[in-house]
Amino acid sequence: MTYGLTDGNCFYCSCERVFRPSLKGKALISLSNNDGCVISRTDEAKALGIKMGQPWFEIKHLEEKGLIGLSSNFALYGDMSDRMMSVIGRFSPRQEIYSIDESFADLSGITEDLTAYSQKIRAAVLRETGIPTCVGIGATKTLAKLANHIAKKQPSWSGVCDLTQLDRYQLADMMKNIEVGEVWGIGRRISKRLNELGIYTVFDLARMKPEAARAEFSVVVGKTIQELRGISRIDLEEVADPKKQIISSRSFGLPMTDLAGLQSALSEFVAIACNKLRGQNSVAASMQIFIRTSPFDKGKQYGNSRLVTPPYPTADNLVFTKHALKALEAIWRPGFKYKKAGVMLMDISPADTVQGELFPVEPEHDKRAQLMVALDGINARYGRGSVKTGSIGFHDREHWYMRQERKSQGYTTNWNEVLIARA
Amino acid sequence: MKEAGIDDGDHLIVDRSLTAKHNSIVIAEIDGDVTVKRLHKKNGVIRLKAANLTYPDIVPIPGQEWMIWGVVTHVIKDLL
Repeated sequence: MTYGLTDGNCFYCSCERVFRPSLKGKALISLSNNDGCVISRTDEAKALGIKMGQPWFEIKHLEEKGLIGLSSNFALYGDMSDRMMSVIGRFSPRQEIYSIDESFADLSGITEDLTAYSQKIRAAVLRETGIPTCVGIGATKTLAKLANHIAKKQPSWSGVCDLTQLDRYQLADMMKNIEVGEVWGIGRRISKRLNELGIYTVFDLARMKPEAARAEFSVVVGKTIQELRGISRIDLEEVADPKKQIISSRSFGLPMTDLAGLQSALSEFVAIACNKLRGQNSVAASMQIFIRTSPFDKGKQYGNSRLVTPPYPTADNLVFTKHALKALEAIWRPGFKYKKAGVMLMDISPADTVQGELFPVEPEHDKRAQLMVALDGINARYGRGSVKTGSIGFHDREHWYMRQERKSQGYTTNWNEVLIARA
Repeated sequence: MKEAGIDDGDHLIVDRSLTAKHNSIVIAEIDGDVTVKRLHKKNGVIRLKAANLTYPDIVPIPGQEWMIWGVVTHVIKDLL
């Protein structure tokens, strides 16, 4: 097998730059909900010493030095992600959208030079969406991830790193220079314990006995080692790190034309995604749904997506299903053969603060109770008054539950907010 | 852009995947600004025709960054 992992460079910031070219070359960061902390940063921001996850109040003073902080604009990022993913999808028969800005593609059947092929992917994504990307290629997903890391960190690769081109000695040299914590699925805690065992680099880990790792750590670590050795073992679901996005989507065996079919499919996707969400003890603030016809179909083409944002982050199937179906009705058009549909839960946070029933017996009552718990929880976490109850902003929901003082426009999702070009 | 049938406030449909040709109406990025112009590409010389014909054409000057953002394919007019 050969896998390619395409990943958007500082994706959220890049989305902002597409529509505001004046932000190019600037130290730019994107902030989490309630303008809490850094979730995406450009190289220029990195050069100012800004770290991922750093709270905004700590670095706000750097505005004097040219730092620009923007509230996250998930309607924009989700839509740009959708565009990027469909471009990447053209280059492979099998694609797995791993997160909002990362996509695995099966490159096994590609006969031309994979580096040249991947440069074509990058060029197409850049041209059609404006998003710069890097591509990593490897015999396993873990190696493709590692290759992507190398492509991002080492400019000499010009954005594409193909580990399948290296002989074993070159690969070993490469692995000796990368810290073990950079390996996909090796979190901070495991890498600390690995360090205690004298395992510091990717090379050290690859030389560890999988059986020993299984006994000492987990089955996943054992599989990771095999993956580093080129034996494909890890499925996406087996990686235990909490995901930032959860996607449930499927290509239909037979195209669907009627609304009812899509309704039932999307409801199922919502159930799957929410189940995963609860499995990692998290809640999601928004969800994107999408439907599209097959790009390979000779007939009429149509695809659309929509971001839905329930009034509070939740992991409740019922809440997300209700919103998903409403959004589906808005984007569904008759007369098309839909080949693919899916949902993506985004802006995911831990459910620590949200107690109570996930499956309320009396939906309204429990929903309300849950809402209150959620409000209290969010307020406890982000400071009093971050979330205000009541009808203050019922007509403008975004404002009543989220502080987004620095949010950019819905360039791609709202007619009133499209980019303005001067003559 | 009256000469191209584009009025103030119109919505433009832009295709990023197209290659701009001589006489294409394009969205261009010039030093961080986004502008709509007609592209002239003749004998290896590239210039952007200004909206108002009495204004001089825009030609690249050294150190200036230009990028063609996309090609305008349609104009939507508001009739209300």
